[in-house]
Amino acid sequence: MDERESTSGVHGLPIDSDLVADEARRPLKPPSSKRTGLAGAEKPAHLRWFLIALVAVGGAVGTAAREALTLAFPVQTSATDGAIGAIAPGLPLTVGAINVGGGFVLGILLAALAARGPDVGRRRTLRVTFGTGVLGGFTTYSALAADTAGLLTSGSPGQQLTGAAYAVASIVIGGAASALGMWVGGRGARLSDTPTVGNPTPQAGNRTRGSRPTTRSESAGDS
Amino acid sequence: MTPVLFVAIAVAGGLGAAARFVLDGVVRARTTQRTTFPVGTFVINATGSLLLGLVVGLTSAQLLPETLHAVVGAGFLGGYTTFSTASFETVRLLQERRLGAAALNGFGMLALCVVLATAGLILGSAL
Repeated sequence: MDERESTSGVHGLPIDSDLVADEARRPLKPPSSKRTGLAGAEKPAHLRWFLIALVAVGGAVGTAAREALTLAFPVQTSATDGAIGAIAPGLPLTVGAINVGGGFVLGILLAALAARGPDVGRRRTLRVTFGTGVLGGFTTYSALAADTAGLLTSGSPGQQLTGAAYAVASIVIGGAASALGMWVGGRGARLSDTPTVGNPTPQAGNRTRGSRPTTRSESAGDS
Repeated sequence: MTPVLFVAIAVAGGLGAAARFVLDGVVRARTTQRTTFPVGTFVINATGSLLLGLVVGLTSAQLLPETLHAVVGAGFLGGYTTFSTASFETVRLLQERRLGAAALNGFGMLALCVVLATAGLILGSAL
């Protein structure tokens, strides 16, 4: 039962970086039948206090780093603050750089972890702590949206242009940085001596968790 | 900034990240049979953007003190919302050739979050 091919795609990464092993082995299109076998399995990751605590600690570290950077490099609102203030006053360049940099590092982390094997045990602990926690807390979307909203509603045409350009550039450059990070992470993992290099073979996945916890089937889906 | 305020921001960011982790898991558990679109991050960033707009608006209307703005805005909502995961998920959708879904997750999320933040901003300032 529940035999299927790996549908994780050539890159072998889940779409959602917060996927956990017991939820991860799903096809790209929703399964038409058969509930994923979770009966009797361990609790989902997001309901486990230990992992929630790791995310909280990581998120506090990431938030502290972001706050420290925005304090060290505040938004320049006029030419007296510096060159950016002269060219594009109000441009939140620090948060923009944090988001792009965080996207790049998350790409490296997730691709490197995925290339090394299934998202269980130590790899999941690392992903949840540093990916979901540290980098999730370091980067921010609400500040991107609110800063853009502030610039767009500020009235000055120059600032409106700055806001629109900042928002679109964040998404485009952030996406490119994520893709580059994923390439770097995958390549780094392939260059190192891991047995489960890169391209997992599309063998059948047994979605009933716990029956064969150490087989490749655990990882066949999305790792 | 006082050290206490800095620590409070960091702790609030940790709580926000934990809230994101739990909510994302809950949303995924409810949607995973229907779609692999990363609904969780989308919902999180949209709600966080609306709330930050509201907090900024309330602060500008002097209904919230600046310290609370920092703890809730830069701290909790900064940790709650995430750019890196959203960006990663957009690239993954692109790699799967799901161009519409990728555009929705990239530019659709951006547009919606900016609109919601603007709405929050206007609402907060008007109160």
